[in-house]
Amino acid sequence: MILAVDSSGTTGAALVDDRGAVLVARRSDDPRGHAEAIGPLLDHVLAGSAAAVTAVAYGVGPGPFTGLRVGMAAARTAALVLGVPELPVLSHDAIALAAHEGGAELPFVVVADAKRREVYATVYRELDAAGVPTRAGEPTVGAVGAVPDLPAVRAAVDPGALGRVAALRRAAGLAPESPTARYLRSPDVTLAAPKRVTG
Amino acid sequence: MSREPLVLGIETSCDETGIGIVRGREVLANVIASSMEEQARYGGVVPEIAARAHLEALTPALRQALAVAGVGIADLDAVAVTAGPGLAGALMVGVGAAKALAVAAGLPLYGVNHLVGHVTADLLHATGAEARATELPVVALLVSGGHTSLLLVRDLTDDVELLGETLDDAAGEAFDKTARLLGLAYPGGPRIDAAAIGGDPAAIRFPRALTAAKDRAAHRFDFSFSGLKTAVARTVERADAAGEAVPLADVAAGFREAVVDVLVTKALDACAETGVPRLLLGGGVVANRRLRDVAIERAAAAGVTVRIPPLELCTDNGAMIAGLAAMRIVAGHAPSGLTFGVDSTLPVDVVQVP
Ligand SMILES: [Zn+2]
Repeated sequence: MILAVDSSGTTGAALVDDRGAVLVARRSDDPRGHAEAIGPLLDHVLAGSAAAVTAVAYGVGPGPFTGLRVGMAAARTAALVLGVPELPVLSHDAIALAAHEGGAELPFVVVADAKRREVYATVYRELDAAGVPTRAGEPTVGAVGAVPDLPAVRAAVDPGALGRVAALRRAAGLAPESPTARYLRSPDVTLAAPKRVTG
Repeated sequence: MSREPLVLGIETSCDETGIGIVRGREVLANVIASSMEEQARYGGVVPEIAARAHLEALTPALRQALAVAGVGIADLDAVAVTAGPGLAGALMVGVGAAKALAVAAGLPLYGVNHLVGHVTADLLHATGAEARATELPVVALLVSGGHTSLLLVRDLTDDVELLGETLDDAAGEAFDKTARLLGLAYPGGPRIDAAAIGGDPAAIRFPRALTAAKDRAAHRFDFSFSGLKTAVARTVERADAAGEAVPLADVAAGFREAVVDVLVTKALDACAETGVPRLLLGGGVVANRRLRDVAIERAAAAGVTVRIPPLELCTDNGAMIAGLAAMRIVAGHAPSGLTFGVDSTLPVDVVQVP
């Protein structure tokens, strides 16, 4: 079975079987608090099953950086601890699969809040060999007005769907995504503010 | 526990990714990956660059630490992580990793205080080396690019008091910013040291903030370095306006002397006030030779003993975090829960988060 983790928006974790069926899934709906949420979520989904995990899937974004990194760090560490491979997944692919399974017709564009009045957008036009929507280009970040004129899908990442993307693609022999975080923005070059230990 | 606990510690509060493994007070591994080179382009620590570097460095450093220590995950008794203070986005990478490690391996998790970790560094020893013993209570002066704090430590595991701290820049940050003003590279400490060679530290008298009699009531043990940086800037501007060369060696020597003088004066004043004739130095700025020399010389004159941990344990590292958790375990403290978040301003009297 595959452990799936995503914190590109809210924080979620799931266990899916090798065909992608969800065994257990849980999501925190708090768009912040990723570091707080990740422990109890992993504890809930892994309870008693850690030894049966054969791979760890995780969302590589795009998404707000600070939260995104929490899930990625946790997933990579879990893979190391369990001695199993990592299966990185573009987080929007999980939204696209869930939308497709829910009846949304291709083509469509997955749109997610990128703060600063911008959105992340990824266009999907067809299915890949695993039956998962495959992106028509790399995700972008920009003004809402710049999003391609296609039906828009807006949803939080379902960690079960993310695990299913990984499971279906692995079963179809497709290579996993690059493990690089999809920041899509350069780091703001603002120097660290002086830290004060008391309020 | 019949033997000393084997603890893995994760430290990501600033720009060093530190993974340490200790058995009690013995350091089995102390792996440090730094994003300093990436930061050098900007002349200081950029939080987002530090956080991105932590994510990439973390699992390789974990693997390396386990290999160096010659232990497996299954051998560990506990996981420790810095919960604060520090840069929030950077801390979160370590906390995310530590929680996954604890849950996946079924280990207790200790979220501990970075500053108290710095004090712990003095009690750690390399394999085969003699165990060190810090006599308590001790006054600790912690100086780095991220903090400048004076602590009174009565008991490392649960009685630490903040005497004072910087109100603006950290001392290491003052070195970095001043280096930039003088056209020197990052990190500033070693560059200013090199520039100060042959300089007269008394040629230019730079200000010693918060040392006047009027400041004693409110800020006796606090620090401020932003005015000093401004004074250096004025000296540079004046020389430029007069079409003269900046007397680099004198400025560097005078600046460093002002920083060191304030740090040591306040630390020894804290020893006198608390009646504790022991001073512990910690943090990356301890690498500064002048600071060590002045502290040792003036402490001796004041009848104060100075302790300085090995340099690789003075800079931010995971071994001190693991070591602090090991001492908490031995002292019988319960682990932290799985729900704690990071606290960028975690006070020193919170040695471990619940
Ligand atoms: Zn530090």
